[in-house]
Amino acid sequence: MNIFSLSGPNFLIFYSILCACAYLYVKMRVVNFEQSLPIPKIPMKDPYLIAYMRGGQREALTLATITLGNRSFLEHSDDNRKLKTRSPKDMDMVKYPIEKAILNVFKRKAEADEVFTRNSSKNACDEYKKYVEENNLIKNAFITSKRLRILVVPVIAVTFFAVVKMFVAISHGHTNLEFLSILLGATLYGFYTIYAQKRTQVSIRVLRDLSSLFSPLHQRINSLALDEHLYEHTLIAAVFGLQANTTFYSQANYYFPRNTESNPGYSCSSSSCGSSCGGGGGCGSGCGGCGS
Amino acid sequence: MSAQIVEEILARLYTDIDFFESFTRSRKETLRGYDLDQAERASFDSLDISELMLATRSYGHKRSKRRPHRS
Amino acid sequence: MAVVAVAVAVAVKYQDRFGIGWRPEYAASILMNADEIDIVEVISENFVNDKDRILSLKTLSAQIPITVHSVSLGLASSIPVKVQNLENMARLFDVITPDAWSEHFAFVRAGGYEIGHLAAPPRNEDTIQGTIKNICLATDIIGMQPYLENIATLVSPPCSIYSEYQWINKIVSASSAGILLDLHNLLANSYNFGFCPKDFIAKLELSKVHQVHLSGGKYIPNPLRPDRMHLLDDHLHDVPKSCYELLTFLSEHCPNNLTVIIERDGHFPAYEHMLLELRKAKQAVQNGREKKCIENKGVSNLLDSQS
Repeated sequence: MNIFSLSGPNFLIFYSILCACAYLYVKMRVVNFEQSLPIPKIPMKDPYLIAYMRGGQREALTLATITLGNRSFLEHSDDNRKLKTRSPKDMDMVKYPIEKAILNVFKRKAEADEVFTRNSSKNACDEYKKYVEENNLIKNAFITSKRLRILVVPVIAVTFFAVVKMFVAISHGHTNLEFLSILLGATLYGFYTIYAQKRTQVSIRVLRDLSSLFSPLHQRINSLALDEHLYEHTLIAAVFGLQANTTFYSQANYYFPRNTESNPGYSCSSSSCGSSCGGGGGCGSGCGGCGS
Repeated sequence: MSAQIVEEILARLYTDIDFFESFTRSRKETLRGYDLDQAERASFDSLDISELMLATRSYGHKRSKRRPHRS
Repeated sequence: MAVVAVAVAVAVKYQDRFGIGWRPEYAASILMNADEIDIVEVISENFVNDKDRILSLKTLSAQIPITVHSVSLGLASSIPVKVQNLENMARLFDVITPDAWSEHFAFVRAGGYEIGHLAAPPRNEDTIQGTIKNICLATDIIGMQPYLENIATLVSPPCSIYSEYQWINKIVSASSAGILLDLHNLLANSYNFGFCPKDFIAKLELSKVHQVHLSGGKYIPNPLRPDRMHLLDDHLHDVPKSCYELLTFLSEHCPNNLTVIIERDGHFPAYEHMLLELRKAKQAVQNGREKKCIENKGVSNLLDSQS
C-alpha cells in the first residue's frame, strides 16, 4: 500500500501519529542522554551560582543585590528605588566577584535596575556562565551537537512525508493542505523547543535534587531569624526561587517590580516546588540511638 | 525453631504492654503457651525486670516519636 | 623532627576519613563546607520510600562521598530477613554507588511484632547461623557486603551462650560482613553490664573493623533500684571524653583505615560545634596511630640492634 495514496483525512491521521511518535522519540532520547551525563560538584558556598542555574543572570544579580541590602552593604532611600553602596571600603569585605561588581555599580546612588544594564555587573556573571557551560548545565556546543544528531532523522522524516504528500495532493489538484501544513509546522516547532531549551536535564535534575535535600530547611526558613541565618535564607531563595522567601520576595518586588511580573526565574523551578517529604514526614530522622 | 520463639517473646515483651505486665506478675504462666526448653525458661526467669522495664519504655518512646512517612 | 616524621609516616600509611550523619538541620552547612568533611552517612529509611529522595542522593553523592546506614532490616536474627525490604534497599544502589552500607547486630521484628527499633537478639548458635544467612542474602540482593554495628542494649538478652564480642567475632569470621564499631554503644554496654571496654576492643576481630560511630548519651536511673544508673545511648548529647579515649585505643590496634562518623539526632548544636567534635576525633585517631608507629619503630630498632 502506498502511504501517499491515502485519502486526506486518513493520511492526516497517519501523519499525526507519526509526528507524535517522532516528537516523543526525540524528547525521550534527549532526556535519556542528558540524564546520563555526570552530575557536577556544585560549589555550594556560592548560592548565586545556584540562582544563576535557576534563572540566569537576572536571578543571580537580583539575589545578590537583595542579600547585600540585608547585610547593610547597600543603603536605600525610602521614597524611590535607588540604592547606594554604604562605603567604598565594603568592596573589600565581600567575598564574591558578583557582590563586588554590584557594590561598584552603586558606589553612586542609582536605580536598582541599573544592576542589569551595567557591563561590570553583567560581566561578573561570566564565571557562572563558564561553569554551567563546562558542566553541561546549560546548552553548550556539546549538547547542541548531540541534540542536532538526535533531531536530524526525525526532522527529515516528518518533512519528507509532508512534502511528498503535498506534491502528490497538488498533482491531483488538491490544494487544501492547511491541516498538513499546521501539523508539520507544529511538529517542527516542537522539535525546535527541544533543541533550543537552554537548561539541560542535568540542571533540571540538580535543581530538583537540591529542592528535595533542602525541603526540610525550606519548610522552616521563615522561623529562622534573617540576621543569624542569612546564608540559609539566601540558599533557599537560590534553590527554590525568590518567592520561597517572603522577605526576599517583597524586597525584590519593591526594587525590581518589572522582573517579578515577567521573569520566569521567579517561578518555582521546573521541578516540583519542594519535595514530597515534608517537615513532619519522617525524613531526616536519625538512627535515634542504637539499642534501647 | 526455639531461637525464633525467644525472639518473638522478646519482641512481644517490648511491644505488648499487657503481655509485659502479665510477665512481671507471673513469668511461668505468661510463657506457658510457648515451646521453650528448660534452659530457655530458666533464662527468662532470671531476666532482670527493671532492665526489661527500661527497655520496654525506651522502645515505646521511640515508636511514639517516629514521624509518619508522607506518601 | 622525630614527631614530624611520625606524623608523616602515619599520614602516608593510613587514609582515615571523618564525617557526620546527614541531617536536614545540617544540610546547608554540610554542603557549604563539603571540603571540611570526608563523608556523610545517610539513613536509608529516609530515602527508600520516595523516588525523588532516592534520586536526590545522586546529586548529594556528587558533592560528597556517602555511606548508607540502615536501621530496619533486622539482619541479626534467627528469622530470615524480609526480601522485600532488601529489594527496597537495592533501589538506592541502582541510583548511587555509596562507599559502603551498614546495618546492625540487631533484630527489629519477630512473630508479627514490630519493635520499632534495634533490639539485641539472644547470642547463640541459632542467631549466628541466621545472621550469616541474612548477610549472604543481603549481599546478593544489594550487591555489596555490609558493615554491622554493635548496638547498645538495656537488657542482657536471655538464652545467650556467648558474650557480645565472641558472638560478633563468630559472625564476621564466617561471613563477608565487616564491623562498624559504635564506641558509645560499647561504652554504654560496658557501664550497664560491668565489663572493660578496652578488653572488648582487644578481643574483637579488629581486622574486620572499618567504620566507627561516635555519639553521646545520658545516665538514667533504674526504675526499681534507685541506687543503680544506666547509660542510655540517645544521640542527643556531645561525644564524651571516654569515647575519644576508646577511639585512640582502637586506632592504636586496628590495622585498617577507619571511617569515623559522628551521630547526632536531636538537640542540634551549631554546625561549628560538630566540626569541633570531628577535630577531636581526628586528633584521637592521630594519637593512636602515632603511638602504634612509635611502638613499631621501637621494635624495629631493637631488632636492628640485635642483628
